[in-house]
Amino acid sequence: MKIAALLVVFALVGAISARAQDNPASVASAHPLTWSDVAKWPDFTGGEWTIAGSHVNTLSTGPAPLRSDLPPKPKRTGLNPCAPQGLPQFVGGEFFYSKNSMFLMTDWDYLVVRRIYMDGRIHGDPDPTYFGHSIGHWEGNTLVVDTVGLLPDVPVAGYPGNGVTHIVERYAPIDRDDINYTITIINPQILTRPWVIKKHLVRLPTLEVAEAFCDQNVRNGAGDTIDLTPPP
Amino acid sequence: MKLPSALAIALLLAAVAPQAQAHHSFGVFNTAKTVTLQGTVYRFQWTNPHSWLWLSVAQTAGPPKIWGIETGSPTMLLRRGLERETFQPGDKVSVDIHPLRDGRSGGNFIRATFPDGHSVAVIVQKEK
Repeated sequence: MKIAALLVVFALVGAISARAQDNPASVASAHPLTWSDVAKWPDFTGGEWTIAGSHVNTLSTGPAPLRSDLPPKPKRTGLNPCAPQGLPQFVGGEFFYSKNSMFLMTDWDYLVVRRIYMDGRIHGDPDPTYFGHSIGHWEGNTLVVDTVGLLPDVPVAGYPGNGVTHIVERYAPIDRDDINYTITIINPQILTRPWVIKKHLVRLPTLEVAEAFCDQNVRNGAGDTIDLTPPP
Repeated sequence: MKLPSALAIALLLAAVAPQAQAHHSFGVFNTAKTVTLQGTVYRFQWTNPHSWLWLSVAQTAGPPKIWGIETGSPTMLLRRGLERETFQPGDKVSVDIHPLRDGRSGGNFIRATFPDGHSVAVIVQKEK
């Protein structure tokens, strides 16, 4: 069963890995891992990790340490209604392990696939994406994930990140079903200092990542119009 | 940690969960106002990005009107204890909504109560 799940992962992310291999500067620093290496990783697989209390994966935060010279916050108008929120607005998910990477996947109203390279490669010059380019390593039982390469539109506290956002996440297990999660958001164009947010993640054992195609039933048009035509 | 039961999760979710509205401004709904609709389920669309409950509501004159009630994505609703089969066509149900500001027959789902008294709820929150 585990092998079957991994094969599904490979199929899902084939396109992503093919693109990443086009980045030789990044891959050159990688060192191949074996399944016995992977077997030593703390086991975060099984069920969805979600924010305790809310049971959602959208990151609610306190006030951001915003710079005082920011322009007015842009309105979210004219965006593709299916545009993902991206990192850091969206955290958690279900973990899958492969031989050189971990995958963190979740569905909200679109499917999120975050690949976290564990083979020691560097970021290089990744193609920007909504959830960025992630490299990870273990510090004891704590998973540390470093992410750059976010699209310019992906916001920090509502302001476009301009592609310079740098995110460090720490997943420190408390026990099998609880993780102390710390996310540090670094963006000197928006923030006066690194913004550290701590959350308690819990495992929802019965939730499994599932297909989610956002444009299945879009009823929101331009200018916040809503199509109220009943289905047949 | 002891794993919470589905019921406990549903209750907890109903109590504290915000609703993410990524796809349009939440301002189209009048969140200061709650309207209760008594009706019959016409269809329940378990779809992305949002699910829609279509409710047939009798009018004092003329044929029943179909109301469109927007709620969360399937995964969001699963996290709140709702399922694809929570609403079946023909179910009698009382539904609280935040109505559309433009006066049309639509709104955002708050909770639904069935004839046996049990209810399902999705608490909403304004988009920041």
